[in-house]
Amino acid sequence: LAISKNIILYRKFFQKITSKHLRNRFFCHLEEAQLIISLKANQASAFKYLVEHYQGRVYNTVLSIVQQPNEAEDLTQEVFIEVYQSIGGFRGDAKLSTWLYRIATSKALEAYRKSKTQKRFSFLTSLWNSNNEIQHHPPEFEHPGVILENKERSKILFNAIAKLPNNQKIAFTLCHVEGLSYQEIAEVMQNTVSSVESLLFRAKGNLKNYLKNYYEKIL
Amino acid sequence: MKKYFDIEKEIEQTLQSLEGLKRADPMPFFYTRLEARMERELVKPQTMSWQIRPVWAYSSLAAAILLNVATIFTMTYYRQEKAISSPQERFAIEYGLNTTSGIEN
Repeated sequence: LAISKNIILYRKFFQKITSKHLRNRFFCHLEEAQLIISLKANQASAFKYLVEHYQGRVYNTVLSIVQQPNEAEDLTQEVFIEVYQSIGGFRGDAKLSTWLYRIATSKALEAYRKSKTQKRFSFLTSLWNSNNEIQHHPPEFEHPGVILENKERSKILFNAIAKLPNNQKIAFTLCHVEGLSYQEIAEVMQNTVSSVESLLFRAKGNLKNYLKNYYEKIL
Repeated sequence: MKKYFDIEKEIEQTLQSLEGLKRADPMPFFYTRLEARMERELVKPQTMSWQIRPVWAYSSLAAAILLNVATIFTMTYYRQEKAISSPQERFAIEYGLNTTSGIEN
């Protein structure tokens, strides 16, 4: 409460003297700094705010990589647990959202790699678990946010995205699913903007090849 | 030739199928589920961990050694007590008397 009162007081003061753009940037930065301080002080309300504010971004990113809703939810929870455990070591060099995207993508890739290994040995196990649910991923993934007319095409595209190399997959997902700018993607991937551009160019080329093979078979 | 153009058109349309994509959100009450999991995973191990703290482990070990040593001493004492069984022998030892009789000699 004390923190939010401070922010309101600062806001009233600065509204009179600065331009809208500068003001917004300043308050975003101030609010994030205050949030990090509160998180480091183990304040439950700050953690709840963080989860509610970022859960969509984390879930959407993870879901697009692992392509399985239940697993994506588990991984999203793991991301926030890791944030809770390691916020003390967060130096604030990057934005909080950048840090979250970094944890989310690395966890998602790790989970994807594990599920791929399980699939490789799936002939040794049953297709269904004890609750009569499919143990291994269904072959087609349907993103819930895709507009109706694109549903079928997006299934084919997500299938092709899953076959991309890890770096290209992250860059493509952050750009086209999460809508991040090249600069933001470069910060998440700890890379330069030009290498992100190159990754996206190669990803698009690979996707075109996969899709060409696919459509040549069915048309 | 027509097939080539069809394929190209399909590829372009498929690549553009993510346009207008809305962000997917987790199921409602995500924070409640997260809280429950954190309580399960982060709080419980802390309550159990006192058993494996060094101070408790070393104290338990010292207590066990002490009990063993005490048992050994007690056992030795009782063995000596048992060896001197009759009251006459105890009396003779207490007063420094010779217990052997002249008839036996």
